[in-house]
Amino acid sequence: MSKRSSIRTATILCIDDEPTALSVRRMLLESAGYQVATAHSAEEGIQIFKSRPIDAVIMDYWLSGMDGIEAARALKRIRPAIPIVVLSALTELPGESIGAADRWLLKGEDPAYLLNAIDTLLESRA
Amino acid sequence: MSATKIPAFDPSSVAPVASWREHDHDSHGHVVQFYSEDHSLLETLGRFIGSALEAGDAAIVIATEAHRDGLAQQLKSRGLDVASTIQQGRYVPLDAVETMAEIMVAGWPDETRFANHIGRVITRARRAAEKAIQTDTSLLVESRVVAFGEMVALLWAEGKHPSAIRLEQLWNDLAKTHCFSLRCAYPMGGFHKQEHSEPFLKICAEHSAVIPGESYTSLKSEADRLRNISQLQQKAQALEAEIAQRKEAQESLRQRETALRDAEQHAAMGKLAAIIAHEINNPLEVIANVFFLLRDHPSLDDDARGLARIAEEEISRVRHIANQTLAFYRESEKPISVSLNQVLDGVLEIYARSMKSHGIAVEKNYSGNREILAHPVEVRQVFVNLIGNALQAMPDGGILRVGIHDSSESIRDSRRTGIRVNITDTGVGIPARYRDKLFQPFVTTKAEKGTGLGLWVSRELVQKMGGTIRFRSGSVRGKTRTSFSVFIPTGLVARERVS
Repeated sequence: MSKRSSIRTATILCIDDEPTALSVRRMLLESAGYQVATAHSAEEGIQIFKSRPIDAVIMDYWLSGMDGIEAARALKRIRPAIPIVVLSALTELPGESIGAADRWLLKGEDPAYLLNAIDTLLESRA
Repeated sequence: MSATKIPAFDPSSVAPVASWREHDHDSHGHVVQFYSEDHSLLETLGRFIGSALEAGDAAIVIATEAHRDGLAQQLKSRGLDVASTIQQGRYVPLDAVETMAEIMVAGWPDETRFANHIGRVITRARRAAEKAIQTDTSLLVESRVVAFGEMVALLWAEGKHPSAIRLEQLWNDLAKTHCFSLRCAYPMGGFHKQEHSEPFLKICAEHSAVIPGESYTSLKSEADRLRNISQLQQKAQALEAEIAQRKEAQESLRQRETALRDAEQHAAMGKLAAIIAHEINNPLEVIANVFFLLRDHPSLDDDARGLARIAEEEISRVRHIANQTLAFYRESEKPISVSLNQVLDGVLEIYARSMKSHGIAVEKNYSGNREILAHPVEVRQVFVNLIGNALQAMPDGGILRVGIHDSSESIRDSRRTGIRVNITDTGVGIPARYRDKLFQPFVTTKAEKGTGLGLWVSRELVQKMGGTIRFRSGSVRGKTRTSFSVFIPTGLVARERVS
């Protein structure tokens, strides 16, 4: 199997408490060839992360309950090499949280940015 | 060896010898007395009025009831028969408040009323005095009139300072047509504020002589008075310094309050911007993803996919405008250390797909890993805008050069060190007619595709970081190059030697 096709069969865990946003993002990632697992909360996401092989994580910054940055830190503690992308609708993320994820993107930006970021992160770790 | 005898110091050689009692016998003039204690005023007033009445002259006293009573006691203690002088009509005690009511119109001393009323009182008193002398001596003598008035002091105490000064002037005007010697008195306690200095000087200027408060006039010797003057001068010096300090403190407090209010306003705008960003960007992400999926969806025909593409472009416009305008208001996060290499790599990464599809090659030239103190989102936004513009200028491919290096820049006579980022493209270039107004809002070279906000916002953000942004666009041997250069300071170094 080539490096590229192994990336495209990778499984991405999406965490968002907004069901519509989550299902459309799932379709976006599936259209790019990824396998997608979804969770509606950080806690549920961590459970899934522990129970099955996940290659990258995309999560909302502003989650009810445990927030995205806290969740990113928890996931990195379990597997430091896991690529994590945090999406934020705010025009700014708190400075100290930027280091917790590998990429942070603004929601509403070109969907291609997200796909690029996932591609690059998976390629660099493949 | 004989010791040289040092002559004793004569205070009168450096200061005029003052005798306050000589004013008690002033036959003319307009004298003002400042006092701290009532008994001190009543003592001098007793001498002033008493000596006039004893000489057979007329005296008019326009005072408060307390002062009229106090004065009557003083006069009686001098052995004067106050009741008979009143009966003769040459001693005229008047109530200050009632007299004021006669001469004031709408809170302001009326010239005509004053001249008529007081003029009549003076003339009557003089005639009464002259008549009293004639019955005693059958001589025709012109009598003196002395007057004491404290209507001015009452006006002053009520805070009607201009009215008090005006009334002093009316007394002076009356002296042009009537002969009398006038004494005014003000309690010193009424001049306790710094803003009283100017009207105080005006009051003094309206008088021919000034009698200072009793803390000075009661001093027995010139040596004591000189010591007192020195003490007062030192006090004045200290007070002036104190006032200056207080003013400075007030000014700095006012500035701090303004800064705080601005910061609060900015923080409130930041919160609002965050809420708006949240409310716009969340649905925008869903819509953008939906149209991204529809763009190449197999179940749609070409027309429908074309429509999806139009919608996508319009959404990108909305997203752009929202993010550019909200860029100025961020919640007050402290600036953090930002790696420019990482930011630029991140921006190049988001454009990777688009660059590949348009045949654009990237040449990076980073010298070391450069860090600045800034807001990461702002730095990112500047370079998303600049690199985005560069890519849009190369629809048929080209080369994007991104360089980061140490630099310094002259600002007036200071040289600042910092980091310079150059973004260069081989695209279509910027037409000369846009060059002067490129950083103005709503100016775009991209026709309906541009919003005209990107460069404007970028420059504002760079300036907020204390930096500068400039560009160059031109052709050499048929090859067009456009370069945007951003300088972000990292510190100030010593001033340049100005030769």
